[in-house]
Amino acid sequence: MAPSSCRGEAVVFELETGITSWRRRLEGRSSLSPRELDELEDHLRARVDLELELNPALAPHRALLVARERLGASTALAKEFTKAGRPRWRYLLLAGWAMYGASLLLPVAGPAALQTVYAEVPWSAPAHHWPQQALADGWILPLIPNLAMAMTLPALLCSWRSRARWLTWTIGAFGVSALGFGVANLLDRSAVAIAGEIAVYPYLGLGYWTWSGAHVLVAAALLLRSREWTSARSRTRRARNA
Amino acid sequence: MVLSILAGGESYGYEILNKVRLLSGGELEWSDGMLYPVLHRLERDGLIAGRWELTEAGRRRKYYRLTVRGKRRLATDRESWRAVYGALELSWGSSRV
Repeated sequence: MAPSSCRGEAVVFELETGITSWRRRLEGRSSLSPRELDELEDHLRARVDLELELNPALAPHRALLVARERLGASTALAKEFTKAGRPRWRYLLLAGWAMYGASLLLPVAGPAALQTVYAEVPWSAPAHHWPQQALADGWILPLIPNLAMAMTLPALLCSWRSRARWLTWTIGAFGVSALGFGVANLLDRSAVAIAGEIAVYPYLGLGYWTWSGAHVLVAAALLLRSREWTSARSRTRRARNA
Repeated sequence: MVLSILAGGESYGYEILNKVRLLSGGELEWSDGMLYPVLHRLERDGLIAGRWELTEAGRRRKYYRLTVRGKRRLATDRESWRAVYGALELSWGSSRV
């Protein structure tokens, strides 16, 4: 291999390593989304190209240093992005979590019209009593969406970089199913015989509706977030393959 | 300023910065990192729209264009700036006498 081509490859390698480490550092010190990082990276590369074009004798690492200085320190950059306002999904997530918090204090349902086979389930108790009851009775189903909800807390606190589509769909499915069940319960209030005993679902309370709505809101927020959290790198790669 | 530049056609961050420098004859020197939050806010407000493109060099680049709402805002802003500029010109003219 010719020495000049070796030098060229070394220059490219040096630049790529420098840019990758700059991106990783910025990613670690800020809550910028992959798309925001993509855009800043494109800018950095354009600036490096210009510096090298204006001064061909300049070492690539020097050009990168100049470009990084012009772009600004990672903390200052993050601050500027924060000043420009938070993305819509964050407001939606906050609203979802506020509703979820409120639902834990509100009664899930009114008293049952008839004696139910689930008499031991504290229907009229606030929802935060449910996990204890669920664990005591082995009635695990309500725990699943609540655990899924708890997993979205890091996204609310900006410390989560995963897209976690499965979590979005799990929370969304629980939310929509719960709302569907609530509507069906409103429309059909006939007594149901379970295990030979007469049972009827009690009237669902504000806590139930708030809880279900919170899940739908959080799922919608995560869906919006995942669109932003998808790096343009993977999108352009897909477009190129197509 | 950004809206006015985008009224001339689609552009991307780095190019917008260069145009600002060029149009102001080097008088206005925006910090590189400051531009992107501004672009994102304008996009969130629906005044500009962005789309990702693959450049000839194989790089991903976000191009921005003015939306209908942005064009309307630009027309309003232009009128306001003209009014301010006219008033200042008159004021400076009279103070010189």
